[in-house]
Order: sequence, then C-alpha cells, then structure tokens
Amino acid sequence: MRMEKHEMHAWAVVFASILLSLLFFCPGYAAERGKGVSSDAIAQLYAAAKKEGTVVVYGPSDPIVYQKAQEALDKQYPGIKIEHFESLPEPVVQRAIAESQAGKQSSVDIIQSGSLRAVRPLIDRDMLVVYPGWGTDFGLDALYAGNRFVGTYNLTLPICYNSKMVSLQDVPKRWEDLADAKWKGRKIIVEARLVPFAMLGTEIGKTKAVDLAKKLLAQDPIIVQGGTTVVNALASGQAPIAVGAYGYKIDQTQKKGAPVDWVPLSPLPMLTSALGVLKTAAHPNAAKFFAGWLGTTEGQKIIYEYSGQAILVGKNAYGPEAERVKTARPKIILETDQNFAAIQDVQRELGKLSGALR
Amino acid sequence: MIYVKDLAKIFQGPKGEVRALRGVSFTAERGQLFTLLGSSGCGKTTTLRCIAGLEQPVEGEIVVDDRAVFRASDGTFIPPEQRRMGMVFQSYAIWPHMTVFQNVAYPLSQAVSRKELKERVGRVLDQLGLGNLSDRLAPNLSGGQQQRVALARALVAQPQVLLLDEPLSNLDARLREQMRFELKALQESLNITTVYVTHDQEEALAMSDRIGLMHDGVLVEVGSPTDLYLRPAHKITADFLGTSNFVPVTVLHGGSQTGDEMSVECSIGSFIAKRSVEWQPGMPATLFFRPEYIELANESDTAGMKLNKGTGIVERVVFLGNSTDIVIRCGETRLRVREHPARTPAPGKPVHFTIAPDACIVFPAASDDRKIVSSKEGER
Amino acid sequence: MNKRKFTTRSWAFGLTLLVVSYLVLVPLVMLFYASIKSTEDKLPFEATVTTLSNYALLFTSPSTLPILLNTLLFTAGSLAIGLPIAILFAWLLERTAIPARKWFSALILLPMTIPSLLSAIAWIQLLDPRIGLVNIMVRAVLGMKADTGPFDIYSLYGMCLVQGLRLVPSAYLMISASFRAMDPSLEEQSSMAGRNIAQTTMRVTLPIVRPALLAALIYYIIVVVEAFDVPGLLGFTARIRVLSTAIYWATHSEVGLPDYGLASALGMVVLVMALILMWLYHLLTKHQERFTTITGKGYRPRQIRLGTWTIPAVAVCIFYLFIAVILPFLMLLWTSVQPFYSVPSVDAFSRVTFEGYSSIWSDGNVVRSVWNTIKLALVTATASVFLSIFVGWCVVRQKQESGFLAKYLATVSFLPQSVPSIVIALALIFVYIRFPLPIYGTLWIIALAMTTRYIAFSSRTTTAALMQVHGELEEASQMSGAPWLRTLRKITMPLLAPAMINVFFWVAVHAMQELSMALMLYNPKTIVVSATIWNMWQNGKTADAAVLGVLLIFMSALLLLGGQVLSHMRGKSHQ
Repeated sequence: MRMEKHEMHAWAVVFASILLSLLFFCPGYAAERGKGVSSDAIAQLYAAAKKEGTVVVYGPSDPIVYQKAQEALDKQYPGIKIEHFESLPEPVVQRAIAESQAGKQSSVDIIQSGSLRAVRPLIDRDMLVVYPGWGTDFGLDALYAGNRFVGTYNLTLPICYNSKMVSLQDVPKRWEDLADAKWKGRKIIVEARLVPFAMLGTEIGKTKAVDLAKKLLAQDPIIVQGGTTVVNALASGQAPIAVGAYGYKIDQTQKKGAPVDWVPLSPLPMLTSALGVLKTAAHPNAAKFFAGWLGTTEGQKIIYEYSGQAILVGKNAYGPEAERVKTARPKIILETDQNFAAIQDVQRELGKLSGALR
Repeated sequence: MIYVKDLAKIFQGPKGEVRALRGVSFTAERGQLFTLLGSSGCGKTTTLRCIAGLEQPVEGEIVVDDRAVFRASDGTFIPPEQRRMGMVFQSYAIWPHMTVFQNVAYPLSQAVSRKELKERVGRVLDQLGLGNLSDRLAPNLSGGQQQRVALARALVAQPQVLLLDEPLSNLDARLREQMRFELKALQESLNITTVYVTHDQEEALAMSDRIGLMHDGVLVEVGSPTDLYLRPAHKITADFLGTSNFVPVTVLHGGSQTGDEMSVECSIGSFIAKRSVEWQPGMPATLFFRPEYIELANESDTAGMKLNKGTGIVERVVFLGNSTDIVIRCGETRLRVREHPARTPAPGKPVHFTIAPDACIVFPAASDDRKIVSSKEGER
Repeated sequence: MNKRKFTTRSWAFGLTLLVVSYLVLVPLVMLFYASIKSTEDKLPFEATVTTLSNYALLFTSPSTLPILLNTLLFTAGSLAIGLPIAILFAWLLERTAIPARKWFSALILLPMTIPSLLSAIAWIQLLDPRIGLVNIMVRAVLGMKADTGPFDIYSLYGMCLVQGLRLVPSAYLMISASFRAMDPSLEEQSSMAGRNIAQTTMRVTLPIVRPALLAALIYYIIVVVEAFDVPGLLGFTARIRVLSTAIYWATHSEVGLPDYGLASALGMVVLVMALILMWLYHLLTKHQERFTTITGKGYRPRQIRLGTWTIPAVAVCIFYLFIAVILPFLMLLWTSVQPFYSVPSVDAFSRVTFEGYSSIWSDGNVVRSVWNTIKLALVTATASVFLSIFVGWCVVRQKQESGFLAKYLATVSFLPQSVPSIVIALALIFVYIRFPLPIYGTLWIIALAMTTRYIAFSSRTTTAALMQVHGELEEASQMSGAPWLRTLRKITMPLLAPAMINVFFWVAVHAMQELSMALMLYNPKTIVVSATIWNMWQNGKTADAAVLGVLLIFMSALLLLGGQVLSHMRGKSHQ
C-alpha cells in the first residue's frame, strides 16, 4: 500500500538528482542548485516549496522511509521539512472531508494510500490537485485519475505458503484449487476482507468471484485482519497456505529467516499505492514538489531499501519482486481508477458473506 | 426557645404521596427538654429534621430565639449549616476516618485559633469523660463512647439548641439508665433548649420537662409528664403511655364540658369519671384508668359505696420485684392491677376494689385516627 | 434569609447536569442524526436524504436474528466466566484473611494493562489449534497423534473465555471498593446466629453489595455487546458474528467511507439496550438506604479466617493468576525477542534478539508518544474522578428533592458506553472543527473523547460506593456548620477514597490503551502509544510492537501498584 506513492517520489528524486548533478558540473547554472530536466518549472516549484518550508504527509509507510527521504532530500533540495505521520488513509480521508466542509484549511498536504479505492471519496468530491507537471516536468509514468495521483508502489496478492509445512509442488497454483478438499480444516489463512477475490471479480465476473470466495470460506479457514497479520500467522505456522498477504512482505519476512514464500499464479491481483495532494493543503507547492520527487528513481530507491516495496509494472518497475513477476508472466489485474468502482462492487458482496448487513 | 407552627411535610413514597406531618405546632421554652414521643413512623424524627433544616416542610413556620429559620409563606429557609444547632444522630454519625479529637473539633476548626481549639475541645472531652481517648480513631470506640463523642461534637460550639434523635436506643439497658441521668444533668447544667426524640416512654417520662405525643404525623397532645400520664386528653396518649385499662361503658349523664363529671355504667358497676376532651355525646364510650389506681379492698370497706367499685376473681399474678402485676377477671372484662407485693392476693381468690373518680376518664370507644382533634386544642 | 435555589450545592448540581449532558448528548445526537441519514459514500453531515432505510435494513435482514442470538450467547458466556471470578476475588481479597493479599490484588489487575490487541494475540499463541503452546504441551503429554487440538480458541467457548478473563480486572476494581467498605457487624451478627462462611456470604454480604454487583453487571453487558477485540480476532474464524461485527463491517467496508448510517442505527440498538438496563437497575436499587454500610458506627472491616480453606484458596488464586496474567505476559515477552513469531523451540531460541528493546528508543515517535500518553492518562483520569464524584453525589443524594433529574443524570452518564467509539470521535471532530474552543487537533480533544467514554465506568463505581456511605455522616457535617463544599472535601471524599483511587487508575490505564478514538483523532504531535503499537503491528514489526507493549505494561503496572499501595494504606489507617 505504501509503496506506490513513495515509488513515484523516488523516481522523481532520481530524475531530479541526475539533472542536478549535471547542472552542478555545468558552469553557468552552478549558482542555482536543484534544477531538473524541465529546470524552470521544477526550479520555480522548488523555490515556492522552499518558501512554504514544510510538507505534511499522512500515510501508512514505515516512518524510517520518510526519515531517509528527508536525508536524501536535504542533500539535493534543502529547506523543506517533511512531517510524516503514520496513519491509514481512512481516518485522514474523513478528516479532510470534514475540514473541507467546514471551510477550514486542511491539516494534511499529501495523503498516501496503499490502494486507490481508499481515496476514492476525495476524487468524487474533487478535492485533489490536478498537476500535469508530474508527467511533463518530473517525467513520471505511473499517474492516475487524470494527474491527481502519483503511483509509488504496487502490492501483489498472491497465494502464499509455509515451506516447512507444504512443498511447492502441493501448493495450489490456481484460485479454484483452494476449494480442494485437502485444504479443509484450518489449513488456510485468509484476510477478512477477501480483497484478491474482489479484484478477481473484474476478470472472471462478480458471480464467479463470489462463488470462489464462498467455497474458500467453507474450508474452515483461519480469518485474520490485515495483510501483515496474514504473513505473521503464516510464518508462525498456524496454517500452510495463506491468501491476502502481500508479496513484498513475504519476501521481507523470508529474509528474516521465516519459511515463507509466494506463488506468482495467474491471474495475479495487484494493488496500486497512490499519493495525492489536497486542494486545501496549507503547503501546496511543497506538496507537489515532494510528491514528484518521491516518484523519481532516487525516491524509489529509498522506498525500496527501507520498506521493500516498489513499482512492479510498467516502465518504472523496480526490484527483485518485479523481476519475478516479469519472469512468471501471469495475467495481472492492476487496480486503477478505471476499475476500482467494479472492485468495490464485488467487495460489497463479499462483505455480506462475512457478516456485513449491507 | 423554639417555636414551631403548623408544620406540614409530604414525601414521595412508592405508591404516591405520603403526608408525613400535618399541622404540627408546639413551643419548647428556653432551657427546656422537650420530648417528641411516639412509635415508629409517627413523624417525630421528621419533625426534628425539619427543625434542623435537613428536611424542608411544605407549610408552617419555625422560629428559634426570635430568628425565623423557616417560613413557608415568604420562602424563608436557612440551611442547616447556618442554624447553629447541635445534633446527635441515631447512628451517632461519627466520622470513621478521623480521631475523637478531630471529630469533636470539626465544628470549630474553621472559626477559632489552634490554641483556643485545643482548649475548648479538651474541656468538652473532659466534661464527657473522654479526655484520655482524644487520639483514638473513632471506630475503635465502644457504643457508649461513640455516643459521648457525638454529644461532645454537638456541644462544642456552644449552640443554643440541642437536637437528639433517639440517642440512647442503641445502648444496653443498664447504660441507658445511667446515660439518662447524665444527659439530663448535662442539659440542665448547660440550660440548653433541647428537643429529644424517642419511642421509649419511660425515658420520656423520666427526662422531659414537656412531652409532645405524636401519632401518624400529627401532634396529639403536649403536656408535662405528669399531666400526660395521669390526665391524658386523648385516648392515644392514654394508650401509649404506661399500661391502661379500657372498659366499654354506657353514658348515663354526660356533663357539658371537658373536665366535667360524667356518670357511666358498665358490667363492673357504675362510675363517676372525668370527661375527656375527645368525647362527644352520642358516641360509644370507654372508661379508662391506670392499674396502679385500682385499690384492692375488703368487702366491708366497699360496702357503703355505691359507685366506682367492683369485684372480681384474681386470675394471674406476676411478681415484678418491686410490685406485682395482677390480672383480675370481672365477668367478661379483664383488668390489670398494679399492687404492692405484700398486699397481693393469691390467684383464684375473689377481690373487691375501688377506683377514685379522679383517676377515671371517659374516652370515645374507637378513636378514629383521622378524626383526631388538632393539636391546637390539645395544647395546654 | 436564603432562598433555596442558589446554594453552592444547587450550582454544583446544575453545573454537573450541564457538563455531563453536553459531553454525552453531542455524540448521542450525532448517533441519532447519522442513523436516519442515507450515508452510502457520504459522511453524515454531507448526506442530504433523511431516511429510515438503515433501520429497515436492520429489521428485515436475515442476518439480524442470528447476530442478535450470537450476541446474547457471547455476552452471557463472557459474563458467566468473568463476573463470578471477579466477585470471588473481591471477596477473597477484601473480606478474608488470605495471605499475600497485597500481591494478589496487584497482580489481578495486570491483564488490564496489556493492550487488547496484544492480549488477544497472546491468547492465540497459547490456544491456536495447531501452534498454541498449551495445545502443543497437552498433545505431548497425552501422546496425541493429531497435529491440531484439543483446544480450539476459535470457538464460542474460546471467545467467552478470552473476553471473560478480560473483564475480571475492571470488574474486580468496580466491586472490591464496596466489599472493602462493609460494616463487619452485619456479617458478625450472621456468624453469631450460627451460620457458616458460605451462608453468611450468600445471605448477608452479597445482598449488601448488591448495587455494586448490579452496576457491574449492567455495565459489562454493554461493554461486551459493544467490544470488538475478541469478536474481531477470534469471531471471524469461529464464524460467530455479533453486533459489533456488523458495526465493524459497516465502518470498514473497504469502499472508501464508513457507512455511518448503518453503524449508527446499530449503535442505537445498543443504546436502547443500555436504556432498558438502566431502567432495570433503577428498579432494583430503589431503596438505597438498605445498602448503606458505612455508618458512623464502628467501621472495622474484620477479616474472615479461612482455616483449612486457606490452601485451596491460595491455590485458586495462583492458578488463576498464572493462566490469566503470567502466561499471556510471558508470550508477549517471547514475541518481543523474536524477529517473527514462532513457537518456542530450539530453532526459535537461536533467533532470540533484544534488538527491539534498543531500537525503539531511536524512533522519535516512540518517545513522543510515551510522553503524550502519560499526559493524556493523567488528565483524563483526574477529570474522570472529579466528574464522577459530582455525578455520583448528585445521583445518590439528590434523589428525594430532584428525583427525576437524578435519574436522568444516572442514565445519561451511562449511555456513552453504548455509543461506538468512532461515532464519539466523529461527533467531536464535527463539533470542534467549527466550535470556537481550540481543541481540535490537540491532545485535549482525545482527552475529551476518552472522558466521555469513561464517564460510564467512573460514575458507576462512585455511585455504588457512595450508596454505601450513610447520609447522616454528611448531615452531621452540615449540622456542625460546614458548608456543602467543606462537607464534600472533608467527609465525602475521604470516605470515597477507595473508589476514587480505583477510578483514577482504571481510567489512566484504559486511556493509555484506547485505540479506536485515538486513531481517528490524533495527528503527528499528539500520537499516543496505543496508536504506535498498532502502526508497528500493521507494519509487521511484531517485535517492536511487543516491546512497546511490555513498556506500556510496566508503566501501567507501576501506576496500578502505586494505587493499590495507596488504598491499602488508607484502609489500614481506618482500622
């Protein structure tokens, strides 16, 4: 979830720093640091950002990512303080709406989300800044909702397994295989919201997706909340198979020594993490600037190094997970602003399976 | 002095309104010990709490030493903490988290200097025999000691009025008698106007200067102990105090005013008696006299008398130490007699007796509570 | 000449009424308002269509009946486990001469200090069918062949066990103050009449502490109905859906905005339940004079000697403490030294690392959140104590004169418990964003939200305790010339001290852990430890979360121990 925004910013930073170093060594431009490819536009933006001096980011990323980003930013573009607060997007979205309704200036500049769906309310209410400059000036590629969002990373939702409890051979390679009788009886860990199935719905149709989910629920699985909890449960050996964990998290935990891995099955659902700037932000220029910077390669590198997340598709794909996906070539179901309404629709149906009234 | 007039109080009970007090009026003179006497639920404690200010009546007036502390008509109400009265509660209400000294010093501790406080508290404690208990924590005292602490606390600020709510009812019999004397002596020596609430008639008779008898929220009768005991104006009073004999009679000749002589007739014989304030012509009547006024006599002594005499058989004799309690059966009626042990006849023996006209009073046969004459008339 | 109306006492009464009404009615109005708005994809104050569709859904959905049934079973089961244990301990530790009382009474409160997230996780680590430590050991001891079982925590029984055990510390706090303050002569009389301990307890002790027990019962019914920790962590797998599950789905629908309309309608259902319970409570405690136990007469709580029952009693205490306190805590410690959770084994031991303990201090957020949490806890606890004293006093002492208002106050102070936390938070956001009072975005708004929520517990406790203090003790102070405030300060409050101390520490500990409201209301400067732990957990830093949890437990434990020492010292000085 957090990867997307950071990725984009990272890319912007890399971009900018390449340009910067070029400028540094070119006499005549040396006096002014911080000039990028479209140097005028970025320089102007940086100047305005510096005047504002601060950017307030709310997002679920690990704080260390932003700490390191601050260090990197200071080297190239000093004078902007990043105030990051760790938070899921939902409460921030509600606060932003409440503040906007009250006519108050927002206490949030940038809102980062692990999935596009979570910030949909802001799109619907037209509360986000549209900034084509991310594409034209910073040269970013993963932009969504008409230049309202900067993508920073992708999260895969594959089938995961505990290698000590089951061999790769026996792991289900298709979503339908999860309904197999041998997985009945607390043998699968499932994230409560069944997001992979919601996304599958856009590919195989709502009815089939809901049916698959029903069959899975009939397997007496262990149901937990939160992708990370799924990973922890899998690593500790509560069950051999897991659905709803993020690929990058599995990789991170594997590095710590846990016997966990994932299968790049097809279709492979993939969430898009997004970064957006609020129209009522108190520091709009700093926000636009920082969002762009995070999308550059420099920013992306930092995001990957300190959180393990990265963009996995498209021109800016980065990292071993992206490699693995590229090699396996599954059908990817990518969350974008074009399909998130459909995903939510299936999500509602799935909720009813689990006890929601509506 | 405490002047109480026409107090009325209503409570919200589980089944609706309860009239706890109706038209209660009396005066306690300066330095007097005035007792409110009655059985549980008669309203005596409520009256006391109204005087204290812990309850607010809906009607009436209370004036203490020329200062109106409550007056319904103009909304006057002085809160309890400003009434400058001392009160001893039935439960003593000693504060368990304080020592004896702290308890007693509490009423004064804001008003006087430390030195004076120590002196005055020490004096009161000595006066009540608590001098050596000054530092003890309140709960570690016996019942009698706690009661004295409560008393000390009530008196330390030298109030003009002392209110006591059944202060002796939780003590054992011997202690109670002893405390009775001590309390009365203390009250007299301090010459402090005191209102005393109790259900124990012996206590009331022994200690009071005047007694107000209460029943069902109404003050039935007020008078000195002697008056109330010997010459009760109401049947309730007669019934409550001491032991009574009630004999149904027919009235031959009524007399026109209270206190007049009446002649009545009953199965025992014919009697001359005093007319009580309650009796109205046409009512069925009952004759009242106390056991100790029945004089046992020989047949020869009573031969010449026509009235106020009778005969009967001794049914039961109970020896009480300083007297005997005798039950005599006269036809259908049983009479109780109090007699000196030396002059007590044996059970089964026939006896003759006389009763002085002065000791006989005629009351209505069934006193309907709601028709009790208001206390204004009862006041003497 | 004083007209009655304007005494200090009436001012205090009026002020209390105003403050509590304000605190409570703001979220309640939001609750009601939101429940009649169509809020799909809209926040309540954006929605324009007024509708009963939320209620219609409630009444017509086929899921409703099973949900209500399950809620009933879950609540009854949890209370059946938790309350008797709490009562037993309150009795054992306050009325008998059981040895090591101070230790037991401190330890029994420890589970309260473990953040609920970590506590439930610890229980999963103990009773998960496959990797639960207890299951593993039982299987080994009994030589069972299967690789799962015998205990399955993902069941109704498992849920009731965990929730029931979770109730014990708070319920114990609520009830123990009443036990401590009993007039022993009441029990002594029963003993002298030839009754043994059991009979005396059943026929004398328990009836006297009835208001406290009833207060605890109705309070915890609503607490369990509203709580989501256990149904969230265990209920999904167990396929047991309760009312709070439905509320959860309404507020976490993964479709952008919570469905406040439906959540509020569900909240209104809980509210109605709370109202009915309050009505029952009033009915049953009408004659409070019957419950007075602190009178002026000899207040010497003497302790029942257990004799031959001493050893079994101590064994029961130790056993309970081991299961409910020590085991979960050990699991937490274990988690804090593992890079990722694994069942204790030789392998796992090789991975033990104390890195978490050193690294959290370098995180600026942690330090800031600890400091914020301490401030928040102290402020909220103090405010709660004072508010609850006034509420308790008004409810108990104003019954005769202003019966209706007193009942209103008692009911209104109980209601916030039935409002879902996030509704309270949203209501406060809505109000204070516009209101001139500058608390939006500060610690104070969180303190306000928490005080609102905790009014219910704190006023229950003070009210029950005050019912046991004989009114004449205060009247004697009045007759001694003390104005109302002095009576309150020098007589009422010292006598209420055990209850006050309990309230303070309960609120402080809960304020340190409160999560759902904090998540809605905090910002970078006002982050609190509970949110930090949650964030860490979401980020997969299980060890860090556990470390912080251990830290939180130590902070709370210190607070609690302090409180217990304080109240026992006071108790001694009254003997």
